[in-house]
Amino acid sequence: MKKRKGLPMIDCDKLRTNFSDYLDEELPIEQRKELEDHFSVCLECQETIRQMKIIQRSLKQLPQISVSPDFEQKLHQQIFRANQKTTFLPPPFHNWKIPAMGSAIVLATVSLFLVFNDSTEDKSVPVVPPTKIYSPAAPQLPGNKSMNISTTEEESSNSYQSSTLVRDSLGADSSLIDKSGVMTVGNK
Amino acid sequence: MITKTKEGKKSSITDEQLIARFQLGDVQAFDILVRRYKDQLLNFIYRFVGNRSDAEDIVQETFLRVYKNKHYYKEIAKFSTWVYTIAGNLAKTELRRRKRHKIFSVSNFINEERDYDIPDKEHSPEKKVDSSIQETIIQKAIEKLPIKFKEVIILRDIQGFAYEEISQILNIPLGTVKSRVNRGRLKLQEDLKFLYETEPNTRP
Repeated sequence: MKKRKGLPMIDCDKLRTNFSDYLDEELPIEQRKELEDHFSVCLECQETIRQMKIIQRSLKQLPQISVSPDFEQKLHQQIFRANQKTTFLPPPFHNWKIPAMGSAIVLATVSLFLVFNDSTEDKSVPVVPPTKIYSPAAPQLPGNKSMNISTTEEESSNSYQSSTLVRDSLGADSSLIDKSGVMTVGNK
Repeated sequence: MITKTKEGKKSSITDEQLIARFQLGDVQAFDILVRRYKDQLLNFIYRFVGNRSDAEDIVQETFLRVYKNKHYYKEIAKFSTWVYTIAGNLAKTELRRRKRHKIFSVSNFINEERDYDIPDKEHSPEKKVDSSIQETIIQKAIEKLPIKFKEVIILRDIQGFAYEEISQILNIPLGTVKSRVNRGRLKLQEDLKFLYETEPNTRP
């Protein structure tokens, strides 16, 4: 602010802090009158406030722009992509249920096959009803393994003795004589 | 705020009711809010960053953040305050990013433009062209303002917000807002006075 004759510079700088309130008509009457008195003698401040009014009006009249026609469509796509990232698992885990179920089925099939195969392949087991009644709480497994599930150590011992291989006396290497005296001959 | 879209004026449902409905899962309420604010926000951001394409991207990001963070909105503030705060922060981040990457240089456009021959409107048959030039010069002058002045000038003089709401949007005291608006207006006048100067003998 240039210093003018009869008008100390400090007045202009101090009054300038109120220019905005003056434009917004938010200045108390006393201050407003003080400013207008100043404008009547300070042409520079008078010109400044005049230009400020024009600029304020120009800012309000700046042309308004609008978003592009596909704005909302693009936004929905962005939201969809954002939802995908947060809702779904990363690609390696996308369809985890299918391989898991497949694996379970394969595992179950193999297990059943092994169990079934084990009971039918051993042809040396005699097809004789068991003479011992085992505890229902400990179900008997088929084949020779069943011998180890006896209820007492003594029974186990007897079973072992009774199932002795009689290779020498009969010349057959796959013959067995069980506890009840029945001999079975395998096909080996 | 003063400026409202036509849809906003017609509808009896307030922004705060709409965001409450959206928080309960009503996506249509979100769409209505988008329609109410998309152009207002675009103009706000455009005046801030000076590039239409960037401005539209920022508005998209603003709504995306509203969508993803809807539960962060509390009714203690107006919805417009919340959404303008998000948009303003994104715009400031963009300006800082440009400054960091040196893709944006504060040009001396205003000084260069002083070489323009601004014709007298009253005698010019090309008022429309003049208006376009003036608009460009004003936009450059806004962009040249320091961010703290630019944001308050856009919110107050272009968007028409009340000082109190600007104070809430920018989270600064009311007195600081008024002071910045005053200094921003004076700075603009200083930069644009070549456009509006009159010959001393023609002054009233």
